[in-house]
Amino acid sequence: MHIPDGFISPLTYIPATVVAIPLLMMAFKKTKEAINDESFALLSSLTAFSFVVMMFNIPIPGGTSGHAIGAAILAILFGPWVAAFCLSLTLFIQALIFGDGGLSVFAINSLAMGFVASFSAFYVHKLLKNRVNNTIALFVTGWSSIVFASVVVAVALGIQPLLGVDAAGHPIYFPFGLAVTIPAVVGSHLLFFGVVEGFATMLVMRFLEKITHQSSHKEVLV
Amino acid sequence: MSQTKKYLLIFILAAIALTPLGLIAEGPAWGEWSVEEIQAMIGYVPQSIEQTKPLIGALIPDYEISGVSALVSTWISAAIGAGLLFAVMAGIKKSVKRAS
Repeated sequence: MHIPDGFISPLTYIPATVVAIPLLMMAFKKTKEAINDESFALLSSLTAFSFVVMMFNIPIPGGTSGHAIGAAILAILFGPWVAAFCLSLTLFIQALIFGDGGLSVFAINSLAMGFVASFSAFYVHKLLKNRVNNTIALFVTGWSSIVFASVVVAVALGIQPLLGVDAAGHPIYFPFGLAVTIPAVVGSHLLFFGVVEGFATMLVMRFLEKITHQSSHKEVLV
Repeated sequence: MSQTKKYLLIFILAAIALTPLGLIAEGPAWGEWSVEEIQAMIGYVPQSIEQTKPLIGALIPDYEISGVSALVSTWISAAIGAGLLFAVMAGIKKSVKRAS
């Protein structure tokens, strides 16, 4: 889901950047409020984990691959703003050092995998946590968070053919429209990567409960 | 180091150690194609995709270090990424402490 440079029209990434800047400033402020000697180890470990887990590329039918993102775990434990900041920081390092995702489209990647994944995880978990079995709640939270993020990416890519064609009638930016991007991007996350994210969320949360002796049923840690 | 911190460290190190499993996937993520892959797929390369160069060249493009095996490149990349994130988070914590 890391959109590269050149795939997206400035008509999309400039408005996205305008939206993302105040959100990132708010997320940074919330992270500074949340970070202290007690929270540091867990917060920084889970941020590092979000980077590492994105390297676990999983092949799916059709010759493509994808991965989990780890946003839901951070959102459940530290709230959506802090999670969005940590994910955005990870995405920034990926773009800057590893060329994974373009710097010009950083805002779109940050809005999708940072903000939309984190906020949807936070509210889905809030909705489910005392209503259904905790394990199921964690799975659905992880699964839905990456599916919501994939919708943003699918729409950002899918509207590009409408935003510019050259003299030959070929799209200037990403060449496939929504009829292709929605099933390809959202479909693959619904069926495969959402399931991976669901299991990752479930297993890591279980592990964290064991080592910190805290239940994810409890309030957000900070 | 507290017991919890020790487990967290083991958790991250184990995750880094396992990252080469990600090399099993040969295909790229859907949409994250190279210029050559797009050319083969639709017969042309959209103008912006062909001409846009990254603002800043990546230090380790695609987590591959030239002259180093894919396995070791992946480990080094995972360690650098995780290490940088720890460092930035530590920097934020330090700046908050200094400000208060």
